[in-house]
Amino acid sequence: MNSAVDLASEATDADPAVGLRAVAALRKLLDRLEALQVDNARALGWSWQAIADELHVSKQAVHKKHRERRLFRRGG
Amino acid sequence: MFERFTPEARRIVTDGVEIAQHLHHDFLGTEHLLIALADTGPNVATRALMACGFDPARAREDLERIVGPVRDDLDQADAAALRSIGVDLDEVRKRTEASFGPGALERRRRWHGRRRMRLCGLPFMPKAKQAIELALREAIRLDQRSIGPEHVLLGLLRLDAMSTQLLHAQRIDPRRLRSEVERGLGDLRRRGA
Repeated sequence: MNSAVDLASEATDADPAVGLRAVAALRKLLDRLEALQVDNARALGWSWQAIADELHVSKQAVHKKHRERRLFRRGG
Repeated sequence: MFERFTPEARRIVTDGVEIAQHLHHDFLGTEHLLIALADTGPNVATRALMACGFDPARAREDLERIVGPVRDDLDQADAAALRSIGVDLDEVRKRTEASFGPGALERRRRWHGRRRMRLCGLPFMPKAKQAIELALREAIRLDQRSIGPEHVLLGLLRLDAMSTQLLHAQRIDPRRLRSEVERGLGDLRRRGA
């Protein structure tokens, strides 16, 4: 595992390409985790409002982002 | 089930499977059938789709936009980039899989359902299966012995499915598409008679 010193040097020494790559990868990871958690919450019967509250976004935002994707996941 | 399918119509199914696999979907849905259908070469169905302005490349894009880019799984390069800011992707993966099962972090769609008809390892979604059954019914209704792409298209048009959404996305009226197919079939019949 990286030590705190290693991490700090990598993060601060990194040229923009490295830093931006990290941000992009983090966003990808974030999207996957969000989709996973939203799907799980819906499967457990959570309302869109309750999900939106936990994510600190509007119900409309979370609905718009995930409804279409979920429709597709069900396929058909 | 596919005995009466013309080679062209069979190709809709096999191409549809390929399209689904390319999108990392592990089921065959009406969306894949429609895109495959549009690529079967000059016939009544493709002419009708063209007459209505259907663009298969755009349909693929719409599908990808909605389900996310094809190559969206987190790869080695992502793992390295995340490591540089102190995030251990392997650890995140391990923990999500502990809660949600293997492959939880991948974008790949998994279809856990009851036993379904499978083709090339992919299960048919209920509506895709229905579309095939409706294609058969359309052929019977039109008094035709074999099932071609036009019957598959008519079958799809009887459903409210993902294929319908792809058509809507291109502002194509399913009723107009249906009448284009019927017109094409009428032309064929007249020429044949």
